[in-house]
Amino acid sequence: MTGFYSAIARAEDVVARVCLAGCAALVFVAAVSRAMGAPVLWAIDIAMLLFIWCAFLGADAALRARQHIIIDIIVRLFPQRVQRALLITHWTLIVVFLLTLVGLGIQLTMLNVQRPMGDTDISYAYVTAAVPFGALLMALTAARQLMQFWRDPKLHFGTGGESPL
Amino acid sequence: MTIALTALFLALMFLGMPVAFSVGVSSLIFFVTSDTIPAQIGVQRIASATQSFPLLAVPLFVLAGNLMNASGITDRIISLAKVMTGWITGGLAQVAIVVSALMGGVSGSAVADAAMEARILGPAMLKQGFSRGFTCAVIAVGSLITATIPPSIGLILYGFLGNVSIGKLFIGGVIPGLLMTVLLMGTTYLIATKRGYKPDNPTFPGVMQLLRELNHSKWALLFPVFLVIGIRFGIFTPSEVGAFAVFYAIVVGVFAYRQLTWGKFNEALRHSIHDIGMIMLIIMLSSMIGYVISLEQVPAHAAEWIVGVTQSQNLLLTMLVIFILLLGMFLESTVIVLLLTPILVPIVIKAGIDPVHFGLVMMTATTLGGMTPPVGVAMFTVCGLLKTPLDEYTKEAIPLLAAVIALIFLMAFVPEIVLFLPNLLM
Repeated sequence: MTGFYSAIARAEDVVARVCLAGCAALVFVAAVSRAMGAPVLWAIDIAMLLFIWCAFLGADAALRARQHIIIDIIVRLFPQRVQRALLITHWTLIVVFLLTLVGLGIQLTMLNVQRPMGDTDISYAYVTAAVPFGALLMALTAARQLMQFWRDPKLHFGTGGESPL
Repeated sequence: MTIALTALFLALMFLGMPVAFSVGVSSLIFFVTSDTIPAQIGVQRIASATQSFPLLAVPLFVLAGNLMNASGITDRIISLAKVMTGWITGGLAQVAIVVSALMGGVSGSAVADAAMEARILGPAMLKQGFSRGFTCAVIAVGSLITATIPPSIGLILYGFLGNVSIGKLFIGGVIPGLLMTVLLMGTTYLIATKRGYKPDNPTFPGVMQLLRELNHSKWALLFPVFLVIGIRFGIFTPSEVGAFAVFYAIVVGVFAYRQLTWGKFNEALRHSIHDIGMIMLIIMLSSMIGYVISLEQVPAHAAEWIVGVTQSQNLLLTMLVIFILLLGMFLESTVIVLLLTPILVPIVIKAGIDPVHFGLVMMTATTLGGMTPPVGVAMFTVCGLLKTPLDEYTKEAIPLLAAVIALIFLMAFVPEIVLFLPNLLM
């Protein structure tokens, strides 16, 4: 199972890097072609498709690295047993939330199969599919973290993550 | 319903659930329990939040910032700042502030700048006898300059959510950013004189040395010039400039400085993916709450109420600044921008205030929230890296925070500080 999960993590890292680099390259191409008077219209649509995939795969990578921002200034004052109970409750809620997103996201993707994306012939379902796929990856990551939390009797809140602003 | 939703969100967040999931869980409960709105709409909002061309500027500037670090631009900025200001009273503290200003032209994130300076300049400052609290305060509060001078991720989010020209916001940030630099250097000078903090160099190293360092960092210094020109002449939108920034960092790193290797390039991509994932998850999940807010016409009601309370623009701005500063003590900056921008922009427009002017006032106050105790991510990052207790930080940060707050009110009451350049250029 660990081998399977780390294979997923490695694949996710490669695909996310390709999506981000591709996104930057396509916006560059779109800008240059527009400046030269021969705009490549599909470049922006594909860039935005790569963007949502990069965002969801990155969200999972950040979850695995425990970088999502947590405000723990209050809870760190609580007794350790309460902190442990809170963390386990939160992560259970997160897994349930993400699995709900998977279900709703699949329904939404099915509804969008016929709809074209921007100026292209590509189905918008490729965009919305990032939601259930990314949520499934995060559910897997959160479930693994939940199992680790469960086994750790000394579990408590660490420091929060970083902020982008 | 909105009140119950907000209460649940705040409860989850302060009980230590990651901020992104606190927003997501509480708004999904709204959609799932609603009789009138199908729950797929919520998921639809998550997907459509990303399908916006202006928002593409966020990942592109995050990537550009990480590439600038990997390409050696950051190192050269630090040596330049040491030559420029290391000889002034306050030495390395002045250097830290000038590094934030110079980094402001290539990076859009205060926290990234604060983390970088805490790692590189922090230990050297402690060794030279600066107190821990003062070192952290100068680095954390100084990093606000980076977020004010364009490019700025906070201003991109404000422009995106409030439908305000990101180009004008960028250009409007130039003068406030420079004023903030002068103001913080002055405050640092006074504190350093009182405490007897020594300069880093005994004397100014000379014009030749300065010219040599300017030459070394010319690529970093030219970038903001290109950025402003590109936006000014309408050649490029901010998202396109973001893509050019990525391209520029690669070219400078590979051909001019020869420091950007394939390995470092991939490391910068990987680092950016984590940053983007973190910020985008909050943006995507809070777009569900945005739907609820607009559905219940919160902005319209709030606008009517506030405009009914006061006709005075200055009073309105004063109230809003105080409100944002108070919120900023407890909430994370991204959350404040995402929740308040759609509500506040219609209010200020109705009151006759220019949304570009308000954007700079609001974003400076919001980003300052990352530096004010008890909750602030820039503060946590710097104090965590330099192992400084929050009470030492708080004591030393007060004069610097007071200087910035004075500047925010000055910007609020004298719109020309923000609007002079955009009106002149665009």
